[in-house]
Amino acid sequence: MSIDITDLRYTYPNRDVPALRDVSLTFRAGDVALIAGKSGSGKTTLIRCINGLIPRSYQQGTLSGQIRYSGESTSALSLAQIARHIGTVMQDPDKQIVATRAFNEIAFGPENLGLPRDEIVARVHSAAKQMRVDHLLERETHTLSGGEQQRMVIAAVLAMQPQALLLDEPLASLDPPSAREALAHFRRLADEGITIVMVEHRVRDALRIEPEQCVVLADGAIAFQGDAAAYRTWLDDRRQIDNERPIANRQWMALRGATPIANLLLSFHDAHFTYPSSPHPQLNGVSLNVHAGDVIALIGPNGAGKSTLCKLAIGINRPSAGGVRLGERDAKDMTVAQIVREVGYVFQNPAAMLFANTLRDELSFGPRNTGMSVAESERNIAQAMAIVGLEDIPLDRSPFGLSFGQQKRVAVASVLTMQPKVLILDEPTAGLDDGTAEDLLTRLLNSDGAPQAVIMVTHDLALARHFANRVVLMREGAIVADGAPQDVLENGDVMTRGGLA
Amino acid sequence: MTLQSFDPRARLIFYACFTTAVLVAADLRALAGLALFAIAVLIFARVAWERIKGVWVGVVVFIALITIINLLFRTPLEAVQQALRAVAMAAISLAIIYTFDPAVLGVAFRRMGFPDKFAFLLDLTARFVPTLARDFRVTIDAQKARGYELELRERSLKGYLTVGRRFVPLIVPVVVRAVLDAEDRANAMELRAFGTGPRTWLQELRFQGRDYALIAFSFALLAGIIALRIWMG
Repeated sequence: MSIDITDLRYTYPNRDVPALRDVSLTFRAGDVALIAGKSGSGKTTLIRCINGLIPRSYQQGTLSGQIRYSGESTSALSLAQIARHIGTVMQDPDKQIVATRAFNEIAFGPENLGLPRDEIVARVHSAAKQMRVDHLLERETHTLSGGEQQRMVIAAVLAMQPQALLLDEPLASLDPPSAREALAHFRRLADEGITIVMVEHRVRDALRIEPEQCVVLADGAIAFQGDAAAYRTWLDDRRQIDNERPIANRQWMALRGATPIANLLLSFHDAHFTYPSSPHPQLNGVSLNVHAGDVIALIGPNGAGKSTLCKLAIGINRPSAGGVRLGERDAKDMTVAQIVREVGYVFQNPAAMLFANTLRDELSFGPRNTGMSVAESERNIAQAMAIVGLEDIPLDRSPFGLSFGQQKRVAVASVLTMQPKVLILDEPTAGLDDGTAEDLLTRLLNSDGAPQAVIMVTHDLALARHFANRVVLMREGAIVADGAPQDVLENGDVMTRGGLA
Repeated sequence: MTLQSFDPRARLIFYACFTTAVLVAADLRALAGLALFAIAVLIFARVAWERIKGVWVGVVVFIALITIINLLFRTPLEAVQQALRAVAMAAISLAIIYTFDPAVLGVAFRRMGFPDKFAFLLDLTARFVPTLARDFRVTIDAQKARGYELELRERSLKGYLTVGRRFVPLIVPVVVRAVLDAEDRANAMELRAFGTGPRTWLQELRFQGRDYALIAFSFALLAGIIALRIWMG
């Protein structure tokens, strides 16, 4: 099925600026299309227009232009009719899953279409087979891994037998092997004749399946359109312009690297950990030293123990054997509140922590909990906001009124206010586009008052290559490799052993 | 034969009749009988003791508290009545809830005549309990990472008052997230044609002889207890 978009323009209610302006595009049957662009560039709005949520669920805004499926106008179709043509897979599989068991999840769409039982069962099995989840049908949905959940969610959409698939950031929560596998599935579905439209921030990964069409949106308009080769060239041209910032970062690393590395900030000694509810250990004797000047990319497949290790560092989890030391002190003699002044941990999703009415209250939460004086807290807040580049936002504003990118910066700032020596960032680029993520990290590494060492937990290997001076690769609760980025990431043997090849 | 082998509708009807009977019954012998019966059902349900140990501790504390209050402000008879009611309610609820497969909750209500949307709401609730629990755990960790401690610092009136406020950093992110996510979830369901017409419920439920027997027993029990209450005044 081809999708034709002509002069599409949409303005959300109570906004002056249109979210999409005069976008015209054609997606052909059997093609893969990649849509990129910064947060707020109109990608999600475009998807909502194609799948009919605009104007059917968002009736208040102003819409003009045409969308046709295989030449037929869509304006008279109901959402249920559209759902038979186009399947939408949302960014976070967890938000899409409605059933407790995988079988019921895949059956949900066909059930809503009121199909006969036999046909539903047949469709569930064939869609499950198509996405290789047929062995998971009896499993409870919340026990599946991220990659499995996503395959199940796609199968659930395929069971409605759509001719086109819209994928909103399908790679966001996947580790590199799962992401590669997912991309191969998308290409295969396109080969079977399904139109694939994919919005993705991880464009370098997405380019691996050579999308026939790449579109970049900026401020609601098309900024680039072409095939994969043309898009690569376009990206490379732009990277040269952006090169100054990484150079600044290299200077920073040279500076830190030049001082003799004697300053040990955080160390794990043969640390073991097992969750009380699990029979399998999460960490099997991890030893790792973090020195001043280290920018460590902690990588590995999902479930390798990366987050568990970081939770040991700040004392949320305590090792069942072995130990953690902060400088000279043993972490077991310290409370979490004491530890977090030495080691900061920024969680992946800012929504997990933001709670206050004003930015001032939000940012002073940490300093107050750790017993800082008001003057010290005020000073640290100003410095932290400058580091993350939000110094111009008044502190009496509500954190909930900010964009996702700004909230993510506030989350980082709210940990920086405690002035930790080591800063742990869990998936610092998740949900951020390339430029925004790079800018945040560059600032973190270059500003006055920045932490002395940074650990990034990430699936984004390009980020690791670009910013880290050390890459630590974990698998099944143990460290597989620890070395310079090129020595780990370019070593096929090591990457295979680490489950990332 | 286990409790699970009964049709979920029969179990829900039994549960409704039994709890009503417990509320209606006033005679101590009848209440004691109901409480013993509920405990027997719980044993028969074979719920692992480990899973309900924590709940029972809470129930025992609750009963002790209620009993003390009743002894102070009401008659000893009422105190014993309330204690027996609480035991019967707790035992039967644990037996029913811990053996109930959440995946059949929605269809059970649908087949009892409730509308599609209401029935599916129950399925969704069951589905999102683990998600909410996970969000809550992540938020606790994220706030601990900012030096947050939940423990009560001073055991005074002021301390107990502040403890309520201390939950704000945990409750707000979880609630805000749930509300914001609800829009995405509603969209996701609409895009899969939910609520657009009569839907098929894949799961089939069929009453068997034992289900009719259980339902008959449930109503007989309720009728008996009501009759007893009227007869005894």
